[in-house]
Amino acid sequence: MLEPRCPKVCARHHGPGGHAQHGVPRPSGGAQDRATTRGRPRRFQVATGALLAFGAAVPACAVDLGIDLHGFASQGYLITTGNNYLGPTLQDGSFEFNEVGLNVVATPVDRLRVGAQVVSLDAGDFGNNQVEIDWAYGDYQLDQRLGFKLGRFKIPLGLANDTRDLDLTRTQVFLPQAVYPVPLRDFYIAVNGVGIYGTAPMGGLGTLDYTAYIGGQNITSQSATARYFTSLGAGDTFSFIHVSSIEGGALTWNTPADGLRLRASLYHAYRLNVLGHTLGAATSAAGVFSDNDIHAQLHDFWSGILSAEYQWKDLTLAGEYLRNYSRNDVVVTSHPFINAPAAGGPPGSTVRVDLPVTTTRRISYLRNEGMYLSAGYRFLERFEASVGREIYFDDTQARGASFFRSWDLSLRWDILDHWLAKAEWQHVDGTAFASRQDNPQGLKDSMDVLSLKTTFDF
Amino acid sequence: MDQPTPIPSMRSGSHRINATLRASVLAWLVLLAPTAGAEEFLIVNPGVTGAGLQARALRDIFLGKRVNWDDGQRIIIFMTREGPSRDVLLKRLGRTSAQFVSGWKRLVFTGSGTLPQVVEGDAALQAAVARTPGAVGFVVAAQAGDGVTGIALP
Repeated sequence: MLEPRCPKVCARHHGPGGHAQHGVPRPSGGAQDRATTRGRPRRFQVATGALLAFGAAVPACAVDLGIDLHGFASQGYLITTGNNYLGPTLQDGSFEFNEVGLNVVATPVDRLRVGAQVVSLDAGDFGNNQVEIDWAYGDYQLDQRLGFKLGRFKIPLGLANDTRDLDLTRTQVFLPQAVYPVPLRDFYIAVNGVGIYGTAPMGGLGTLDYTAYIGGQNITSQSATARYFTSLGAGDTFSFIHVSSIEGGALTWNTPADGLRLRASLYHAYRLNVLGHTLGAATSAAGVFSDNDIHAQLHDFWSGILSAEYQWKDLTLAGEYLRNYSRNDVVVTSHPFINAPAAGGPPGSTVRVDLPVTTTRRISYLRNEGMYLSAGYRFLERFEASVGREIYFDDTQARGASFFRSWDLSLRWDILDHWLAKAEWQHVDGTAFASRQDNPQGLKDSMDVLSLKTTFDF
Repeated sequence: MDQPTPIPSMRSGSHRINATLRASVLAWLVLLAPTAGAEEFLIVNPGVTGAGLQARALRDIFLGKRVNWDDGQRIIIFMTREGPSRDVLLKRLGRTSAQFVSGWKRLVFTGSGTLPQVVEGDAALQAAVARTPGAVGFVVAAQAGDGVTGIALP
């Protein structure tokens, strides 16, 4: 049986004797008290990911530079009924559903860790396998009560925002979309800035983990996350998306009840500016069309999540509640025009005649609400199943207008310690789950999603 | 011998024990005396100056929340691939094997932790801890072995 291990870049070796492999041990059968003696430790050894992914035994040095290399790769398949979801999934399904990641971490001096991870992911129009820096930061832990981060690091939001791309950390194929929607992945995934974190003892009341951060965000106008702003009426294409700053934090209470933790987390984006465009939109006047430049400013975008998780033996229960809020100031500059018959041109040809430019301003509000409950149970050593219920509303003041409710059933099989496979079925009622861009034919009220996925890691 | 025994013997190539460490080891000896007969040990490399090392640190260390010793030295965790030491440790941590592995992978792929190193059996574990500065492990045994500092757990 394979066990997690890690390729090492070794600098020196202290002392004789056996060596160790990095990794988390798992039961595998075999002799006890048997010192590992597969050859002498090697110097300056770098094992390839491919070699490790297939479980080749690679000795690592007992003492090294503290450089670790890890990676993962996932490939999934989606097929749906009712609506397309994350690509053209209605008929033959879609294989545009994968993630690849590679990270390296070093501990050059005491208390300091530095590292970076690159990822490439694809989920329909999202990601398109462009390589991006997932995180790259230095972490200085003064002691358990206080540590600092500087660079680009994952945003702690809810129980799972920081592991959105890590299929191997959960039973489900998809995180609950009511709280962790794929289209907003780029919006929440990481902050470029500074953070503090630590754990405060609370005597007999358990411990309190805290973390806070402030910095910037780089959502590009090409990011598929821009689709989210389309749903806010900010245009179909975008030439500019900028966030002045983001900040937030999380408090996690590890309660005295063993296995029970509660978390409250908050995210704030200040002055989110979006410049979008629509071309040739029909207007209320017959025969008049308009090219629109739309400047949407979300003065303060807030996300808050309350979370609870309870682990008891092989059972894991989780529930989370999300609210998003922002006040949106939208200025639309319209360039109306008509297509008049072209004088002297071929029959049927037209010429564009521009009409006076107009500017309108409106205030809108974003008030999303999402929640889920899930129960997972590892019923055999290598098999785990979970069931979940999700509910999402686009607008808390018009819950019947745009929403979805879903049931999902997931099965995970840990084929080997570094290789897993999953299957998931989800039934969705409501139109807020799939996007209009994926379904130009119109959204149906009910759909089913079958997803299969396999993941390697080393 | 029933009493957990911090043995300050060092192997070739290891660090010398300084005065602070000697004092620390002596302090542990005194503190550990009432727990004679215990069969579960947190074992650390003798080079670890453990003023803040207490039994309750076990959970924080093996769940990856504490990554440095009090002197700033990086904590290097060793575990056995299987067997009673591993099973008892997971029970103490309140984690199943799957939960434990998932938790560590979460740390690794968010840049927050370094996987424990795996050895084959308790003897190899104690040898690895003895020769690796900053190392820590957990064993179920009659006594802590040579070259490591043993802390009996209640």
